[in-house]
Amino acid sequence: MPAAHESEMGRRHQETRVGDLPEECLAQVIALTSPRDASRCAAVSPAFRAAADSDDVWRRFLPARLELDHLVLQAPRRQQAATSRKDAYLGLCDAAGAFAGGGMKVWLEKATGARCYALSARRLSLPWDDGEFSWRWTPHPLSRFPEVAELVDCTCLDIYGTLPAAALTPGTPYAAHLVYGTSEGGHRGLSYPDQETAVAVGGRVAARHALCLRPDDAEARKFRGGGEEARRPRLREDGWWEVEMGRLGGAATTSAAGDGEEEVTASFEVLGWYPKRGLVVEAIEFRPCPPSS
Amino acid sequence: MASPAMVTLISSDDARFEVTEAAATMSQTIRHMIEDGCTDGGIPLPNVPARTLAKVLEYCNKHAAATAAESSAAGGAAAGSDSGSSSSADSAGKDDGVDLASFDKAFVEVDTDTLYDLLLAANYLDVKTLLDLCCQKVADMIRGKTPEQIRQTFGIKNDFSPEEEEKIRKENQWAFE
Repeated sequence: MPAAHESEMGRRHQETRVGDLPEECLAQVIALTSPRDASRCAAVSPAFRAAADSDDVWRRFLPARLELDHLVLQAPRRQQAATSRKDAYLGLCDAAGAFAGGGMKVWLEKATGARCYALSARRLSLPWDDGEFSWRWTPHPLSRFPEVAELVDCTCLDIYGTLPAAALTPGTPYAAHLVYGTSEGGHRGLSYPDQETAVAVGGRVAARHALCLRPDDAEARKFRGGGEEARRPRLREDGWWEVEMGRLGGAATTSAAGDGEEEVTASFEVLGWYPKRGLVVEAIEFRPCPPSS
Repeated sequence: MASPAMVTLISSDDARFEVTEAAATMSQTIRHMIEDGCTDGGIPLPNVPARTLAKVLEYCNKHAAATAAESSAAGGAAAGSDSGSSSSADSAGKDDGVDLASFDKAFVEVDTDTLYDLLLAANYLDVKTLLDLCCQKVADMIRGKTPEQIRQTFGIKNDFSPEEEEKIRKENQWAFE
């Protein structure tokens, strides 16, 4: 289209230049940034906006259809109904409306497009060796899953969740989080001592931490000893509590994904043979770490 | 063959550049013109001024020479016969990909106006690797910046009304948090 190019060149003597690039060029540039940068570009100028909102850009940020199928997911209705690729992308970033398959939910971290996972309690390995009355499966008003697991009674508590390493976005540092609550009937044995988490890739432990699901400062004093300060939970906006189980470096996810067969595992364990009850397990989530930490 | 095939390119301001066909045909646009036999008296490029064309050809010469050196190295002993033209190719070949990567990196260390001209010329001439290189450079300059900083970096005038801009910011609120 020589005519279009000539008019581009004709305008060159004005002050704006990069903003005057043909839309296809500008779109090619913006597609090399990130979803967050592209969304900021929309506010730069009308020309930037046209390119930054274009399907050419957002197609790059959407996971390939094959990739989604590989993860055994059902494509969300919202994605099919979306009028633009940007809307489709934003639909996939909505954790509340995340699409589900095989007892887990998957969504994308908005700023980067990295994949996030929540494994429902049904997808986790819970200890059954205390007998079938250890756990009670029950719907929960706050849960995104049909059922959560409520700990009725056990002495040895050991929970873990696994995911194929290839499911994580390569080169991205991840953190695993336990999402939980406590039952209305009260809880026991969940404050101190000796709670431990670990995350591992292909059986190699990447991080191990002491933590506390129900910090109780009076009790903590009794058990204070050397070593690492126990990690504390935070209350999420959705009403569940969450505690970080450990992190995987970007290098770990890259090399593991290349292998194809390896799994990442996040485990939580309360050591010590004393009665525990009242823990409500909602999910284990794998999410990218915030870039600054 | 004592010397490689040469073609003449004519910039928008009527400057003539003589280059090897190997370098010139890194541009798909020029390749098609040569294939169509439009080379008599030089190939006119009415969209590219001399200053930009010289820079693009610097890139094409470097990359064409590196490619030639690579293939002659792969061809082994055959390199001896075409000594006249291949001295630059030989030297480019010895320091291979690392050298080419640092050449590329230095090549786009230019002011934004030049980068703009290069990008537009690479797009028009259809030199894919140069276009990718320029796009990546601009993308790196955009990454992590606010809209104000992007405008400042590239000297872009804000044509939005305050109301429009406010509305767009609201729509993309999450990206500003």
